[in-house]
Amino acid sequence: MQEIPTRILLAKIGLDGHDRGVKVLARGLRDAGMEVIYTGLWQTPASAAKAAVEEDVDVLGASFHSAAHMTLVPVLMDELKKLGRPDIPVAIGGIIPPDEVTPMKDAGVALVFETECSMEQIVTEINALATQVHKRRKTAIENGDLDRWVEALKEGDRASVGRVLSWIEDGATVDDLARRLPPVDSKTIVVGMTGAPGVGKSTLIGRLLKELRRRGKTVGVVAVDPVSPITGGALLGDRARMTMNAGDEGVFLRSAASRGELGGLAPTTGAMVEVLRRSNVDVLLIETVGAGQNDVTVRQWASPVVLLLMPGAGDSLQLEKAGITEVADVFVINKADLPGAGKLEAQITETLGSARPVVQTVASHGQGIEELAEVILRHGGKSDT
Amino acid sequence: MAEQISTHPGEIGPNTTMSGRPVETCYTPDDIVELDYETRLADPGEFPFTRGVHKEMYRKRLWTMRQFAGFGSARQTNERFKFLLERGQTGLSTAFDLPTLMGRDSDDQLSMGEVGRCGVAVDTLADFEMLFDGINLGDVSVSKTINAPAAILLAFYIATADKQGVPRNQLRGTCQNDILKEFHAQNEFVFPPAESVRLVVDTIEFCTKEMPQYNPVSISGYHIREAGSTAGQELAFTLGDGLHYAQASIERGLDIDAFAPRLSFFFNSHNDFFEEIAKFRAARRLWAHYMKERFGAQNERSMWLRFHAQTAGCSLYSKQPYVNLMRVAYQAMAAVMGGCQSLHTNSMDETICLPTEQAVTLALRTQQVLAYETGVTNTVDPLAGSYFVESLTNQLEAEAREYIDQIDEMGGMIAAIENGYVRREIADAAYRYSQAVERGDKKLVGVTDFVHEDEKPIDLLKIGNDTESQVVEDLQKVKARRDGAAVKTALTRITDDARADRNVMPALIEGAKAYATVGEMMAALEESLGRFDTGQIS
Repeated sequence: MQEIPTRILLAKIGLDGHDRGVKVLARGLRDAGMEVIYTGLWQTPASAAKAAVEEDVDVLGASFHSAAHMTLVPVLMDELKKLGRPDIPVAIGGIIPPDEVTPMKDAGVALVFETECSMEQIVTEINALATQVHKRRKTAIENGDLDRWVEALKEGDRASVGRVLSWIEDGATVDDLARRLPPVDSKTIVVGMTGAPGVGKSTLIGRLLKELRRRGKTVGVVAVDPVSPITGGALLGDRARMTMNAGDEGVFLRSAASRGELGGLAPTTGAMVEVLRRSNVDVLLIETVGAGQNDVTVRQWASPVVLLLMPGAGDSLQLEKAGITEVADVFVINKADLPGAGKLEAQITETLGSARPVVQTVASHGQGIEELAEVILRHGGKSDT
Repeated sequence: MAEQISTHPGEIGPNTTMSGRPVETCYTPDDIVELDYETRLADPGEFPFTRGVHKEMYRKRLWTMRQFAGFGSARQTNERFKFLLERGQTGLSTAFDLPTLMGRDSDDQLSMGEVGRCGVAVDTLADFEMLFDGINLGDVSVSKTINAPAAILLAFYIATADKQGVPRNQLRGTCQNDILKEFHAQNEFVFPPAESVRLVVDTIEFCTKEMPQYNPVSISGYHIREAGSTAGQELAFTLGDGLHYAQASIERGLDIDAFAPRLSFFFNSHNDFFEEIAKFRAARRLWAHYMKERFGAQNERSMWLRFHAQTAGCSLYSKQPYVNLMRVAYQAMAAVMGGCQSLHTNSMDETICLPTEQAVTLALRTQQVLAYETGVTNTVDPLAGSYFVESLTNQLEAEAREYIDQIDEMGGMIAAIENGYVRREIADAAYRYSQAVERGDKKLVGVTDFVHEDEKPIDLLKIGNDTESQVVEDLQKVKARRDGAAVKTALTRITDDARADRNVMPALIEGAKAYATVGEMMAALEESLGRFDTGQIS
């Protein structure tokens, strides 16, 4: 296994919907211990490059099945260059005719995988590439590049924010942070979004993002997903569930694996929040694994903390326990079109009083999202003063 | 009894089918003790049609050999169509490029690099007029592989026929128009599931009234299987989709026997020979029962499951590509022994590019050898009574029923899509198969085993880059000379009719005749129907 887990972005660029290969690959790479971020379908070269830069992945992998790679790959390379990261290695696979392998390598592609490649071969070659990238990153930091990246944070420079976040993920200590990061002068509203798996957090955040952007707010997202305790790998799928704003300049999205932490957060989440606050986003959403009771930690950085519930999921029991319900500032009843939403709302007010707002949403249809945005912005504004 | 049924197929090993179904060393009469001939099999042409929908099958009429074609501009595909017709082909099958399949115009930002690559580019009626220039639509049956914008492309087809002076009731052919499987597998959806189905029902309703010889939907399992499903999942989800369209059409007020005879199916014919044959036989039996028992169909034709088959594209490899010829031949034989009504055999190079003329000819010859030399056409359903095949048929039927029951319990197919169930089942199966190959439990000739390094490359067909700019230029010319006011009126009517739950077909035909583009009409529909975010089911 790699000393630092390999981080790879898997992208489907263009209109082609053949995603069997990319999905099998995502699972295979996860099971080999990698942190895999999947973009979902229909990316443009620009949105895929933006994702790779924000995630500061070791490798950008793209899958092509419709012969569009000859057109799209050179554009992708240009987009990486425009964002200041022509160094992110690109690997491609899918249907790449044998005589097009050389032109693709000439265009700057690091690895070309044919349809018949075994998972083992792909894993080995990607890991080897990632090891080189990790070495380069270490050298760059030793040579003082970190100061330049930190300096560029306040301009919100995407590439620099991505790189500083990786420095943190690689194990920067609290002291390192305090020494390196400038003081905060932004008014970022930090929102914790938590709730049990399956309540629809990512879908809700996707909709909320859209609504916040409609109101002209810039938004950062840190989405935390669990790692496998056995392989150390993780499949970070939040990007795929928030595709609507993938290419939006006013959005910065970072996926994080919880790397061994039992609660809903990664050991580095707090530090990542500090970095993103310094990049001057208006609203920062932290999506946590949603272990429920363990998520009180999110309180340290976030206000408001939003707890997502859904009808008929044993919530009355959850409500009676101490923990997250005590630290939550806002309750969201998602999937409110299911029976029992009214009853759940009554239970919340009965058990916990009526001081804290309860918002009913149907995230999949966009219902209740405007109200939620309103509540969040109002609360954030309040706690700021 | 060897009957072992689980909705979640087991681990794939050396002694299982490729779907993970355990196979015994030997099958005996004990494996089919409950098989009553009259009720479970019956003679060909008799309910429940397990043995075939026709009494004489291929003795009377061979399956249709229908090869899918389309590339570049409408002019280029028109030339290919005429070439095929001159060679004696009586049916055409149109492949559209990705932008058209996704309802986007050739000049859309997301169309970059995809125009005319995997099929013909169509933006306006002008392209359809060119596509069928010199081809009388009253003389040929035309199949169109199109889904999210199917209603619009059907409107183009009708408008072209109107202009040619061909009466609508003489139009023959099929529109794939199966949007549900796009949510399961192929990912060419645009509107949300329920709204998409409403468009499908609009076309069924319109065709039932005006185009009695036309098949408005081809309910497809092919893509589900290509996405990595098992044979049982392909069967279950396809029939589940069919049941949903039937239910929705009945809710629209249509009589089951008025539209069900024109529903057709499209299945994959994959590597596992006996399992595939059993799948086709089980499909017929299941559909007949569902139509009769769930919907009270009276007309036997409503109970017929007629299907087109295509050999499995995902089973082909670019290593030792000539080996693909053998794969295709066995798969084609399974489709024929399973009683298909029409068949597309893949070309050996289709895993790498669009087929060359030499490759497509060999693919067609494969069907001809099967039809004229092997003798498999001499008798109907030749494997009936095989202990193994009948046992497999029973198992597949039971597995599909279990899945369909489960989907019913969830609240139907739309709910099963929205909660991600179908996609998860397919993705799990795809990964299980890939692991079986990695472990060496399933071997691939020329890929995992019997590899040789000194391969000579085969000739490949290349589509030039100049098509895209030419097509975009043509589109701009059409836009410049059309009547802008007429386009605007038609687009407003499309939005209004979609919102008011009126059948959108008349408005789409008006839009087609005003030379509104596919992209413009999709946007007009989207205004009322909304757009589905892929993130909701990823």
